[in-house]
Parts: sequence; structure tokens; C-alpha cells
Amino acid sequence: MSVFVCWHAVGIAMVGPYANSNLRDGLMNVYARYLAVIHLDRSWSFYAPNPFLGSILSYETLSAAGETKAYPLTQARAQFDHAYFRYTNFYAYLFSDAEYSKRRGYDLSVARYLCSQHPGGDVISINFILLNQTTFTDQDYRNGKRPLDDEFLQKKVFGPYRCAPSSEGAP
Amino acid sequence: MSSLFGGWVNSSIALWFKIWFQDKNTLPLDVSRVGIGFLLFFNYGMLTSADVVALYGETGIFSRAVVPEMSQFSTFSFFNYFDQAWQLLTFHYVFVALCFCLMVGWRTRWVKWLVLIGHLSYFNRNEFVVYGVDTVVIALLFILCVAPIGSALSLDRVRQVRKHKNIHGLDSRPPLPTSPRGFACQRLLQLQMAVIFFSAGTIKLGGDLWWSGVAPWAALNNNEVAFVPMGLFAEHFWIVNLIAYGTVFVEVSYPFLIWSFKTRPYVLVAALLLHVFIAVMMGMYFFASAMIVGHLAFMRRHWYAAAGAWWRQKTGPMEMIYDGQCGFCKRAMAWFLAYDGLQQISVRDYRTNPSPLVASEQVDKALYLVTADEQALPGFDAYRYAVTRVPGLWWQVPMFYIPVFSKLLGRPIYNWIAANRGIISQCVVKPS
Repeated sequence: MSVFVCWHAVGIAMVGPYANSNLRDGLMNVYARYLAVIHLDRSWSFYAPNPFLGSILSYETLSAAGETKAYPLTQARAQFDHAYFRYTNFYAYLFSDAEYSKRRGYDLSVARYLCSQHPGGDVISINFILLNQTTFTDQDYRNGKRPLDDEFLQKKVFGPYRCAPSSEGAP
Repeated sequence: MSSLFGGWVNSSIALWFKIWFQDKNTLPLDVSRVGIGFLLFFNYGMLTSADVVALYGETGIFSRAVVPEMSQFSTFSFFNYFDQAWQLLTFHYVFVALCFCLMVGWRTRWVKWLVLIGHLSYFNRNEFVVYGVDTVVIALLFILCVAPIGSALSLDRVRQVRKHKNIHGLDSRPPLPTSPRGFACQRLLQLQMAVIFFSAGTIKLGGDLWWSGVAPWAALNNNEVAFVPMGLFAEHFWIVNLIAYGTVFVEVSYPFLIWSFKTRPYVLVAALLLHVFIAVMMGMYFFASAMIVGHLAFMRRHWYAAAGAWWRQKTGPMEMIYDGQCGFCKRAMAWFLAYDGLQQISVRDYRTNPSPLVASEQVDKALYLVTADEQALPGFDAYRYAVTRVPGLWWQVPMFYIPVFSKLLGRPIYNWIAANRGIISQCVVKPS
């Protein structure tokens, strides 16, 4: 048990805000797999070094008749919903590095799922709409502005992702 | 010289064992077990079937084909073998049941490992839906798996006590098992929490928004966690600064001040307030709860003992008078008393030790409970009185307190059992 205590204590203490040193790198070579299995190979950087500013992801469907309709994604659930943070984390992550997501096919996977949520073949394509929040100060608030006003949001559109005409709904 | 070195080695070994391997009971670990089981049970149990398929299913938002290739050891997931939604959902609901078993401590020895593997399966299937609560829970649960948990606050303990009472008599009760291994695991939990806080605090020191005291403002304006109106903070921005510096101070100082018995209560209260703030202001109540469960590893045993003594004093002593010649009654009593972890109820066999307060003819008809103010309650009412006062029996409160129905059905059922206890004893209880 003493061996395990030493082993695990060093393992969990090693994951921290330390600059890469020869000692740490050497230990990580030994510990990498062990820590990866139990997902302890990550730093505990809650809202650090600086908090994220936030983003809002939604998607827009285009029907065969040319009509568009918008649906929320990050804000689809009520904030006290038990699964709220699971969905929000996922959708906030999706286009945080858009090139990487596209390379890995994450965007296609989500688009396929969203197409399947509109069965009937009426929806022919979807676009993702990402609104990234920008810096909003207390002075802005006192001036009557709010964090989700247009001037504090940067808009990006990803798509179109075509929905398959079949009932499978794959893009 | 050699004796000097030998003395140093011996004292170092003694110090090592004093720090890590004291022979103490596992109560603090089992408190953490209950907390982790509760969090997992509700976290997963509240997911709807549609959520499970959407988040983890092949037809959901993240098909298996795009699951990133991480370490070969961290990609294992039972979900990799499920092609149909019913398979996924079956696994899910079995897992939720296992989380419940972990919470109540049923077959804890192997259930804890199944829960860990199950939780890792969810984690590895879709790592992008996990957040702080999942990593904290894994860090704590892994240590609990190594620990000898389940010997307190658990159905395993109830089974052990019931068996002991059946063999050695209703008055006896085995002491809580002690374990040096359990103490070492409690220390690891404590170290884990200290590392989490220290890391979180010192990484914040690398952020200019924390230095300038603006970080909470930025965090609370993030639409994902924007739960409260910001007017008060905008008008009195010093509150935001105070929260920022207070957060960093609590997190950085935690690993230094938490070990001293003098400063520990204050540090724990500060950490608790921080997490309550996170839960209320940011809506991250699962995460905050997981962290609070982790902090409970620092609770000292005598604090629990003091809380138990306070409760015993508040509720007062209770005495149950039973028929010692009725095998069924004794077994039922052993089962009932096994939940009385604080030992609030004493027992009296009226056949060998008649009560001065309740006539034997009365106890012939029903079990009696004598309260602190010498009130004698028969049968159903005796149980009804006890279940609200014995914490281990609180789970039975709904059964005894359903308006009208409990009394309407409870009393006749009890009276029927009491009247036929001789026959039931012959049918149910094996001759010893």
C-alpha cells in the first residue's frame, strides 16, 4: 500500500501549474498512461488563467420552399436543466477551433444529427451560426448596454450542410 | 554513526505510518462514497432516454467514427459495443442502478469498480460533454475504489450488524471496522483536493483578469453561466474585485492552511462558501456539490461523533420492549436496529426483564417503545415514532407518514403480524 500511496500521490501532485521541467517531463513519461486512464492528465484550470467570454451556437434550416428557421443549440435547454452544461459544453466546443472540428468531422456528425431531427425531407440544408461574445465592461452595463447586444457579438456562419433527401437525414 | 542513521530511518518510518496509515474507521470515506454515489445517481439518472441517445448514441450528436483517438488506454468504453439504442439504454439504466447501489452501500466491494468503469465509459464515449464535475468525480472515485469503503453508512454495514445481532444478541453491536489502508485513502482524497485548489489558484495567478479583479465579471457575463442580474455588480464593482481576490486567496492558501487543526474549520467554511457561490451564481450545482463532497474528506471523526451525540441528546433515549421468545420478532428487531448507527434505541426482552412502565400483557399483543418522557407507544406507532428520529431509518419515513394510508393500513397490518407472530416464526425462522 505504501508503494501505491507514493505512486498515486506523486501522480496527482505532478498535474499542476508547473512549467515543463526535465523532472516533470521525465516523470510524465512514466505516468502518462496511468494518468490518462483515469483522466487525471489534465490541469485543474477552472476559469483560469482567464475566464472564457462565451459563445452562442444556433442553427438555421433551409426548406425546399426557401424558408429559413433558426433553432438554438447552446441555449436550447433551461439553465437549471440537469443536462444543460453537457450540451452547452459540447456546442461551445464545436466551433471553438473550426478547422480542427471540420478536419475531424465533428461538424458533419452534429449536422447529420440535426438533420435527423427534421424528418420528412423538407429541410434541405442547415447552417451553423456562431456568435462569439466580446469584452463587455461594467461601464458598458452602466451605459445601458447588455452583453448580448449586437455590438458585443461577432457572428460567424458555417455551412451549408446538406441534408440527405432520404428519411435517414444524413448530410 | 550507524545507530544514528538507524534511529533516523526508524523515526522516518514511524512518521510515514503516522501520516498515512493510522488505524481509524472509514467513516469520512463512506461519507464521500454516499456523496459521490448520490451525485452520479442524480447526474445520470436525470438524463432522459432521448438525452442518452443524443449524447452517447451512434445516431446522436457525436457518432463513434469521430471519437478522437486519445491514448489507447483512455478510449475504452462499453458504448463502443452498442449499435442499437436499446442496448445503450439498458446499459444506462443498469449503470444508474449501480450508482444507487454505491450511494446506499450495497455490495460496495465490487459495485464501486463497476461504477468507475461505467463512468469512464461515458467519459470516453463523448469527452466533449464532460465538465468539471466528471473529472472531479473520477479523481475521487478512483481513490474510493482502492479504499475499503462500505463498512459505515451502508447496507453492507446493516447486513453485518444484523448478522452480529442474530448471533450475539440484540444488545450487542460490532464496532466500526478500522483500516490503515482506509486512512491512507482518506489522505489521498485530501491531497487530491489540495492539489485541485492549489492548481486552480496558481493558474489564475497567470491571468491578468484575476490580477485586475475583473475575472468574475467576465465569467458571470458569459451567457453560458449568466444566471444573475449584473446590475448590483456593475454599480458596486468593488464586490467583483473582492470575489476575485477572495477566490484566489482561498484557492492558493487552501493547501497550506487545511492541514492545521486550528485553521481547518475556517478554510473549509471559506471553500464551502466559494462553492455555494458557484452553485448559486453560475448554476453549476453538480460541480459545486462534487467539490464539497471532496472537501468532506477533511472532516474530522470527532466532528461526526459530536454531531451524532448532539442528535442523540436532541431526540432522547428510546427503549423497545419486545418478546424474546418470538424468533420472528427478534429477527425483525435485529433488522430494524441494524439501521440505528447512533445506537439511540436500547432493547428490553419483557420475558426476562419486564418493564416497570408497560405491563407484560400489553407487550404480549404488540412491541412497545418507551420514549424519553416515558410515553409508551405500541406497534405501528412505535415504529412511526422511531423512523423520524433514527437517521438510518429516514428512508422509511414516507411509508410511515403517507397521510391517512399509513395509519389506515399500517396499524391493521402490524396488528395482524403481531397476532400471528408465533405462526410466522415457525414458518420463517429456521430453528437455531
